[in-house]
Amino acid sequence: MNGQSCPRLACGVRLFWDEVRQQHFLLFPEGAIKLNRTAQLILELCDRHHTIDQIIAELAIQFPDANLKSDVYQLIAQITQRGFLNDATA
Amino acid sequence: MLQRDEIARPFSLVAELTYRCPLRCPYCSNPLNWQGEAYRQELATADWLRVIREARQLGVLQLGLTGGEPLLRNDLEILVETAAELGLYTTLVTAGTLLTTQRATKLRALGLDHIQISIQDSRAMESDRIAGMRSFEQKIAAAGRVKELGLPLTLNFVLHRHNLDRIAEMIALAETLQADRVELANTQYYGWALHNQNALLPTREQLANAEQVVQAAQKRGKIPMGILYVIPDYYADYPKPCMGGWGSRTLIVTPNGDGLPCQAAMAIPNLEFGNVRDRTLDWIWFESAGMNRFRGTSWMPEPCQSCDRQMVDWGGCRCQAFLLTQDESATDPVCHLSPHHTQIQSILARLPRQAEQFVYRDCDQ
Repeated sequence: MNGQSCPRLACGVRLFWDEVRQQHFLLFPEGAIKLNRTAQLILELCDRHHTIDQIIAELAIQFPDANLKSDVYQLIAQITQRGFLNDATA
Repeated sequence: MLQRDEIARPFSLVAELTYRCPLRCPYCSNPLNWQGEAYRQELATADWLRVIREARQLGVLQLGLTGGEPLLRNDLEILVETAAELGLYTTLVTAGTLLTTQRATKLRALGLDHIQISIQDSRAMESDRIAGMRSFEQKIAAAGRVKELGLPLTLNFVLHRHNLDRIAEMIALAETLQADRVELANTQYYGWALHNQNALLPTREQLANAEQVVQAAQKRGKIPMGILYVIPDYYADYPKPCMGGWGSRTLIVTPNGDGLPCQAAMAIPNLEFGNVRDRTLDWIWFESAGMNRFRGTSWMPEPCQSCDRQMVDWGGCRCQAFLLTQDESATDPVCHLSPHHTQIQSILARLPRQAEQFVYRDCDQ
């Protein structure tokens, strides 16, 4: 994926706020991944309406000091590799 | 015994809704006495609804609705609806033969997240022979329906001596059916599979070939969410971390309401777990003697006690240790360091030259 790609969660993959553990998770067939705050915010924007460039720009408002670009690309690559994200423009 | 705050909350609830099933697979994970009186007294809808709510309060994220054949329960729809309202990730684990378009559509609308269908072999005749009934064509049709509905599809193939040589065909079938995820799970030897061990245990040559085929398929990457391959642990050097550790990730509830740490745990005598008819899931998970019996590492004998893998494999499988040594706290004999490992070696050495015929799960013992 590149800056113009519009990532979206694959079918059967969704975000979940666990009230019991006070923790965000990504849920998918037979598994769950704990999400930190940044990961949760990135994946919330993977809604097929935002390009990766837009995701980075939007989060830069909240986290001006962070190394956002590489965080976003790294997370998207990891989650895509496991089959949980697709490029909606592809 | 661990303190309450040292015990992790479970991630999964495996709800065995019924042991009734149209299929008769010879490696069924249900108990040998699945037709017994106790299991015929299935939980009522209200019991399951309470179990599902308590499971979420306990921290469960994943709900597996399984059996037997869960579609035989007419209340499946309301269970799915309730689980979805609670946000549980809900999977239907089915043989597929009863998954009509109407029912699948309804379940999808009520919030079902994912469907897993079992297929017994890559070829209709062989698959039907292992299942003990004509079912292959219905399974293929059911898999197509799942994809048409836009639900993620897992295909599960149980592997053994009679089908392992066709593993490449099974993967090709899964690719054709556009499965999102594939489980290629060699039979593990408890219950029905142990009863049929001579017929089912594959040869070392079969396994070596299968491993290559699986690696090639994983590299090909046509199954987006991946291929899970489980080897038969008799051929491993170290035991598997059964269930990710006793009472650490998964809770099973049987059709009659017993809470268990794994589907085979009832094979071990004198363990008290509690039944959801008179205990809460919270009590079963945190307080019951059975669930606490093999938590942590203090129960471990040597060689586990001084082994640096003790928190990797957790001493292996307790049910297997009991079934092979009559001592449920022994090191899993699969481990090459176990004093009982010769038992495994002699089972492998005595494998019949030709695959024997198996006994279907409905036959009298």
